[in-house]
Amino acid sequence: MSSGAARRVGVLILLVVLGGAFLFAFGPRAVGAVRLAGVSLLWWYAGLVGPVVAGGATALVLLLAGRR
Amino acid sequence: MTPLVALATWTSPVLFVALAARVFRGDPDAPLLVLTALVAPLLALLRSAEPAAPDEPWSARLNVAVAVAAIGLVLAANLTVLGDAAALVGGRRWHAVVAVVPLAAAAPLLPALARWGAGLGVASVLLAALAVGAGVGAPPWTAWREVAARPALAFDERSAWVTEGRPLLAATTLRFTEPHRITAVSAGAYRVIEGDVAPEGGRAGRPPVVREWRLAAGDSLAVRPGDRLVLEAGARVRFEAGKRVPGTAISGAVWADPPGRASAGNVLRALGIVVTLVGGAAALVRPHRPPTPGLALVAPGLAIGFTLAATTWGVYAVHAAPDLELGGSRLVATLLTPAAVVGPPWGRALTFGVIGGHVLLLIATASALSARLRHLLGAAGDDQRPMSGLRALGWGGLALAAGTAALWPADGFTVLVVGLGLAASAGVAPQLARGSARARLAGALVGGAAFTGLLVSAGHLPGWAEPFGAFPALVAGPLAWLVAGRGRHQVAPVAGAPRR
Repeated sequence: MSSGAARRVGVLILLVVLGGAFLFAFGPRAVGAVRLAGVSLLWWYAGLVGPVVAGGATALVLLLAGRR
Repeated sequence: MTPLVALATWTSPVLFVALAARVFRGDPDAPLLVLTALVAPLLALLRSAEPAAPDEPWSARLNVAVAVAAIGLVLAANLTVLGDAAALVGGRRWHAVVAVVPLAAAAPLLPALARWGAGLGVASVLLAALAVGAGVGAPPWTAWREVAARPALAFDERSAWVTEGRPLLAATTLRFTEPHRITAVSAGAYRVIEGDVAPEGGRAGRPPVVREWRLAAGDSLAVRPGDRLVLEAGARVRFEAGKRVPGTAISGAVWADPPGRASAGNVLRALGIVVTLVGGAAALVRPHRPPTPGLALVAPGLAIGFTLAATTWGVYAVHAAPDLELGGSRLVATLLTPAAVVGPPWGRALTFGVIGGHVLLLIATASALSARLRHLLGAAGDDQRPMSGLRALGWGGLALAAGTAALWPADGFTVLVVGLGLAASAGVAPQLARGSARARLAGALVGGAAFTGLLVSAGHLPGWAEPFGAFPALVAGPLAWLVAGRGRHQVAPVAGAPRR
């Protein structure tokens, strides 16, 4: 995969991560308010899952870009 | 600029305290703000490094003017926060401004500060969050769960507001939702507006009546649900332990999941946050060199560490002391969390340590912003060397102007939103359209004008349009992009064709 393509995929992943937060926050049936281990799904997503996925994807793309 | 230096423009004190404050209050947009504050700079890091299309001279000048204004506003927002922090720990705003402006002005002379300052600053706030977590005795998710399970966010019996009382740093109006006995620690006039605020779940049944009481030290007055207590700056009062903190969420469940989160207004506000932060980051976080493998891992890690430290800070703050925001700057109030958790003298030392970490973050931010400005002025590639000559003098002038603005109390996050939104509307959006140079200039002018118009008229907008006033880039950015894109088909590239 070229550096440009990797960047585009990375940007797409980050936008999907942001979109997921909108789904949890404003989606139907208040799915983000459902509690998992006492914490709402919205906060698990915004505070842990989203950051890890976003950070991981960015690091991977930057590593690929740096090699070229 | 390396990705690490570029990120230093983002990991700033104002963003840290704003994230912590939103989490602390349980604002409906807090989760989205947290995630956007992380994703926005990462998106900017992934932007293609290909050079922008050439601008007309006027367009290039406008770009620089917009960038200078935006960078000045971001700097002012950060200096405002440090001024607030100084007032919070007993100093004066100007103490902080006089101490920090020279550091911000001199930051470009030591470019390494941007690299090391950001890393050390983020490490210091992370360590402070860990120390507070150790004091609380629970990981952040457990603290969140415990707050969410509370029937009310109430005054703790060990709170300074209950034991000895605290002075109010600014005039405040407190709204009560249950009966409460207030004790005056300092003599003075205390005004109660009765009956014009609806008690919990009910309607305001009493017509408003204003009563003024002159109390001596030790006197107390009782307020009822729906009353508002007007307190002047400097007044010192005590509250009852176990009673709800006025102005906070009515219960832990409401804090965790505010009612009406999915309202149209909140969706618009969330979109406004995304457009402003993503656009602002695209303008400021601009690395010009590919990262080394080490930096490719460290840069996202730095952004994650910064965001999560601010988030956990807000959770621990509301867990330890939901009354922190009473009587002072709401934005920086959570900086007092260590004092509430650990207690004196270590709590106070830790608070000063956190403020020191914020000073490091500010110096790194200032150094990185100056490198960004230097690149915009056409001196790319030399950000490893100190800024010199007229440029250093100009940067000093900008820092001085930002410091002067920070002498007046203002909401630092609002100033940051104005700076980022302006950069997004008049700087980034027209460039994204990839239209002709003339169309981009028109887009920048229209974006800047729409942004300014919405900002100025924010106070006069109807309720449904309030998010457009709070985040003008939500309208101005797309408008600038549309106008700049109109010339897209007029400049079909022709090999060898002379450029106008």
